[in-house]
Amino acid sequence: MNVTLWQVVLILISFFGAVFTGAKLLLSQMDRRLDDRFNSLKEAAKAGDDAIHETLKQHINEESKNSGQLIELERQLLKWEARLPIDYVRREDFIRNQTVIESKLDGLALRLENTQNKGGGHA
Amino acid sequence: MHNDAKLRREFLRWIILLTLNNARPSGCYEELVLMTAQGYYQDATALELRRELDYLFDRKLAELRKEPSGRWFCDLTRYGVDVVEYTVDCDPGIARPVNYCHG
Repeated sequence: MNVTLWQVVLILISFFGAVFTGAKLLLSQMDRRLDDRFNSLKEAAKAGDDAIHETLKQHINEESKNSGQLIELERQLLKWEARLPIDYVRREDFIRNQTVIESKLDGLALRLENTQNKGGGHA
Repeated sequence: MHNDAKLRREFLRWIILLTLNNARPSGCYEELVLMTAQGYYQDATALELRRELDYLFDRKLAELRKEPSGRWFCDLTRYGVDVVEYTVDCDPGIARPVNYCHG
C-alpha cells in the first residue's frame, strides 16, 4: 500500500484538527464550569457581606439607641442626686438631732425635778 | 462637784439609751453616739463614752459588738427599749427623768 506524502499530510492535519477541536471543547467546558463556580462563590460572598452589613447596621442602630437611653438614665440619676438632699435627711443626722433635742428636754425635766425636790413642799 | 460628776455620768447613760433608741432597729457605731453626747456635753470624750457603754452592756441594756478594726457597734436590747419607753422601772445609775409627757 503506497501512501503518498499528500495523504500523510492530510491525515496528520485531520488528526491534529480533531485533537485541537476536542481540546478546545474540553477547555471551553472547563472554563464554563470554572466561571460558574467563581460566580457562585462571588454570589455567596456577596450574600455574606450583605448579611454582615445588615447585622452591623442593626448593631449601630441599637448602640445609638442604647447610648441615648444611657444618657437619659445618667440625666435622671443626676436629677435624683440633686433632689436627694432636698427630700432626705441622713439617718445619722436625724438620730443626732432628735436625740439632742430629747436629751435637752430630759435635762430640763431633771433640773425641774431637782428644783422641785429641793424646794420641798413649797414647789 | 461629786454630784455634778455623778449626774453627768448618769445622764450620759440616758443620752446613750436615747440615741440607741432612735437608731433602732439597726443600731449605730459609737462615733454617732459620741457626736450626739457632745451635742449636750461638748467635752464628752470617747473613753468616757466607752465606759458608759460598757456599763450599759453589763446591765444588759445594750448590746456591744467590738469589731476587729477597733470600732464599737451598739444596739439596744429589749430590756433597754423597755427602759427608754418607760415600760419597766429603772434602777439607780441612769438619770432617767420622770415620764413627763406620758407618750
